[in-house]
This record gives sequence, C-alpha cells and structure tokens, in this order.
Amino acid sequence: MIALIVSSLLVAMIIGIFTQMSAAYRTQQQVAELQQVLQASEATIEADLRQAGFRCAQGFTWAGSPASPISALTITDGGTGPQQPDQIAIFYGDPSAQAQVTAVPASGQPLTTVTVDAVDASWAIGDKVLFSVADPGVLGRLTFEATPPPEEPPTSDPNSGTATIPYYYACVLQISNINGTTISFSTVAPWGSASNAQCDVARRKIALPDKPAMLYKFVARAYRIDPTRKDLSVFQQSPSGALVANDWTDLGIGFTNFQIASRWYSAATGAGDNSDGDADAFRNWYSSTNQNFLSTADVLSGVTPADYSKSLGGATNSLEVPLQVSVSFVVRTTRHVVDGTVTGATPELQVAGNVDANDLGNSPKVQLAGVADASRPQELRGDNIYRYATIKVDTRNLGVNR
Amino acid sequence: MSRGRSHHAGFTLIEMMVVVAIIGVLSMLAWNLISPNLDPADSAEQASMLMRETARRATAGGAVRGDVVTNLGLAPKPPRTRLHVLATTPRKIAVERLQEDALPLHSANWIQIQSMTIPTEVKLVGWRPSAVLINGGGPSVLLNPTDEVVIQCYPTSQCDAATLYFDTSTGSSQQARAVLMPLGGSPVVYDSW
Repeated sequence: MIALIVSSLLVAMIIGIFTQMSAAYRTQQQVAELQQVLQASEATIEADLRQAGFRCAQGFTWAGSPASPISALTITDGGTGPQQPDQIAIFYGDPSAQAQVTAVPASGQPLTTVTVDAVDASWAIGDKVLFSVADPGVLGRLTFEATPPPEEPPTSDPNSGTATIPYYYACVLQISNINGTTISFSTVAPWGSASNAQCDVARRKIALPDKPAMLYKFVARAYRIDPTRKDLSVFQQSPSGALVANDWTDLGIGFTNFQIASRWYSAATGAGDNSDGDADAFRNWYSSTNQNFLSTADVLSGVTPADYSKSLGGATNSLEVPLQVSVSFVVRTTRHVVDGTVTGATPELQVAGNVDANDLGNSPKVQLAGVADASRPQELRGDNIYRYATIKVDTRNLGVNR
Repeated sequence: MSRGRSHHAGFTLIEMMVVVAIIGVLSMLAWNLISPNLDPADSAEQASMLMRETARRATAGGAVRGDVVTNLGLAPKPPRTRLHVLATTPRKIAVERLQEDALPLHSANWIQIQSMTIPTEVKLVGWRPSAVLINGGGPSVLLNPTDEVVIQCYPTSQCDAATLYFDTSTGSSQQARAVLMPLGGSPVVYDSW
C-alpha cells in the first residue's frame, strides 16, 4: 500500500508538471502570436506612411471632391479618454507602376482617355491612378533656416542651403480600358464623373516637355478599429482611404487600442507654439483632436515660397507639413489565458499633463486587475495578456526640407 | 508436527484487484492528458500554426525577384509563400516557399518547407475565401479528395483571408474552423462552424 501511495503521488506530480508545462507552452504560443501580429501591423502601416504624399504632397482631388483637395494624410482622433481609438488615412502614388502621359484630350473635352509612353504591365482595368503634374516653379528654391531646429546638427555644407521642391497638382482617375498605349478612364462614380472635372486644374498645368503629367498607381489606405464589434476588437483597412463608404475589410482581431500622434511643421501657428516643450516653435507634436484640423491639402490661394520658407519672420499661410507620425497598437490574446499570467492594466498611451501635445496619444491606461468584467469596456473583458508597440515614421515625401 | 496457517507475505485477490483498478484509472487519466486528441479542433489548431508559419516565412523571405514576377505574371501582388492543401489521401497541408531559379533563368518553383497530415479521423470538409469570425454559413467551397486549396502570403506581412472547416470522418457532431486573417496570418480557431 505504501508503494502504491508513493507511486500515486509520483504520477499525480508528473501529471501536475505536465499540465503546468502545457499551460505555459500555450500561453507563450499566444504571446508569440501577439508579437507576430504586432510586427505585421507595424510593417503594414509603416510602408504606407513612408510613401505618404508621393506625387500628391499638397493633396489631390477626386470625383467625390473635384474642387477641394483631400489631404495626403488625414488623422481622425477618437477623443481624449480611455479606449477611444483613432483613425488614419494615407494616400500616395506608387512609383513602382508609372507612365508618362504624352497626349491628353483638347482643352474643354472630358478627360476620358490619355496616351502614355508605355503601359505598366501591372495595370489592370479597375485600377485607380494618380494623375500628377509637378511644377517646380511654384515654390521656387527654398532656403534652409539660418538657425536649425534644436534637434538638428548645424550644417557645414555650403551647398545645402537651398532646395527646389515641386508643387504637385494631382487628381485620381480609374482605368476602364487599356488599348495599346491608350488608357481610358471611367466616367462612373465613385471614381469617375462625366467630364472627370477633378483633373481640370492638373491638366491645365501640363507644359511639355518640362512639366508632363505622370500616372502612378494610386494607393489609398485607412486604418481603424471597428467601432461596432468591440468584443472581437477587429482592426480594419479601407482600400479607398475611407473615401468610399463601407469598404472596410478585416485585417486582424484582438486590437484594443490604436493611437496616433503626429509632428507637424506649421509656419502660421509656429510663432510661440511650443506646447510639446521641445523648444521648437515651428514643429509640434499633436496627439488629440487637434490633429483633425491639420492638413497637407492646400486649399488656400496665393501660396508663395515665403509660406514654405523656414524663415522665422515671413510666414502667414496655414499650410501644414507633417514630419513624423507615431502609431501605437495594443493587442490582446484572442483566447483567455490559461496559466493565470494576465495583464494588470493596459498601457498608458499618453503623457500625463500634456495629452494634447505629446508623441504617443491621448489614451490613459485602464486598470484590469481586481476590476470585474462588467465594469470594464467591452473589448477589455476576460483575462488576457496584452502587448503594445509604438513606431515613429518619417513622412519623407511630405516633410521635405522641414 | 502440526501444519499451522502459513504466514508468507502476499496480497489477497481483493487487494490485487484494488491496486490494478487504481493503476488503471490513473493510467487512463494520464493517457487522456498526454495522448494526441484526434478531434477536429486539434487539426484546426495544427493548420493555424502552419498558417502562422506561412505568414512569418513570407515576411522573412522578402520580395520576389523582379524578372521572375514579370515572367510568371505575378504582379501586382507576388506571393512569397503559400499554404497548400494537397490532393492526397489522407489530406496534407503544406507550407511552401516560392524559390527563384538562378539567373539567367526567370523561373521559380514552389518548395515545400513543412507539412502536416490530417488524421483519418478528421475531415477537411471545405473552405471559404474570407475570414469568418461569426458562426454560421459553413464552407462556401466543399472539397473533393482531388481538390486543392492555395492561400497565399506576401512579403508585406499580409496573407489572403481564408477559413478552413473541419469535422469528423465518423459523422459525430464535432466541428471546428481555422480562420486566417490577413494581418500576419493571425489565425483563430473556433470549436464550431
């Protein structure tokens, strides 16, 4: 009997160890999943942000807004407070698929066909293209600041004092047919209209041979957490940049927060605006609803080189230029944790005391340990492990020389 | 010389039966914990692990060589890896990588990296080319033994969305589905359709 008791204890102990190890393995497997999902999220949005504004740095027009340009970067803050995720829309021309326009219809005729030098093999009927004309004469050669911003080292290169930055007139069209080097465009909503008037301004700016129109594959992306399925916490992408209603597609689940902060150069608000406390009055981090009103779209008239100049004295126009975007994701396990290793609180995605002007966001942490499910936001219910990541990306096509 | 009762050490039949019964119960408990469970959810879980590996390998593998993309007509989204449900008996699910041939060739071949065999007790009934997060509907495409399914992953860390549906070959009511979401695979397994 003694032998039986001892062996029973041994078996029980072995079973206990096995159960614990299995639970730990499953937990670590879930954590590995989280890390992979976080990495994939970062990679996806980072690639878009790096190209944001390519050949449409001052915005673009489309059939849904033929007169007022859309900003190449649009941030919609969800609000200040816990669990109010943000939304971001990013637009650019994809330089890996491009063609030069060699002929357009005569002035006054609808822009329904163009001839190009060569059709990119990857283009297909239904693709959206960015029709973009670069005008280097609008802004002229810009002069660097006499005193560089505090975070930049002083330059000793005598040739780096000026740079020519083109002004882009851009609009969006949808391919309806390809015949040789002739491309036809849709005249049907949402991406076309009878005359494709969204391109009227851009086509008037064509001046061969120096200022041709170029076609690039148009890339539009918007990202958000689905506000209607909080229990699943679905991260979504809109392939139209949320310009077209209800075209969100699911990317992944378990995303409980998505915070955006952005750093902008603004000549107009520059004087005296140093709310982020970095001693640079022209470049500020914005992290709350103040981002909703920042725009790369030049809807003002009479933009002059002086408006773009970093000269501290002469800027009066309110065109803004994004320099960096900070993106934070919070992801939780999709199944409840089995070995009791749960997260006690969600991460703090803000700087306390300065929620409007920091490089994280405006979302305080939410206490989970000791708080009953019924008292938590729906997306934070259950015992889970949480992981988060923040990336900062330079918006190089938009922030040139800023 | 009397022959009294023998005092040799030993067990009675009752004692032996109790011991055997206890050992039997313990063994059964241990076996249930340790042995592979051949239910559909386990196969779905295994398939989801392969999905995750397919996504990871796509990111790690990087972009497909430009001349191969052109030659094979892979634009605009050249895949780097794929999850391949093979037409075999029993069913196999494989992770495959697109391996370019050395220049001057502009071709490439799918190379199998790893695979799983679905147990004969479990049946891969069908699939749906979208991520089904809410129960209902079941597969949109039923799979015959000779049918194959390909789910592609791209170097951008994204994969095609898909849902694989499993049940048992014996006709019991056990069901499971493995949902592959675009972002890095991020598969989820549900114990129902």
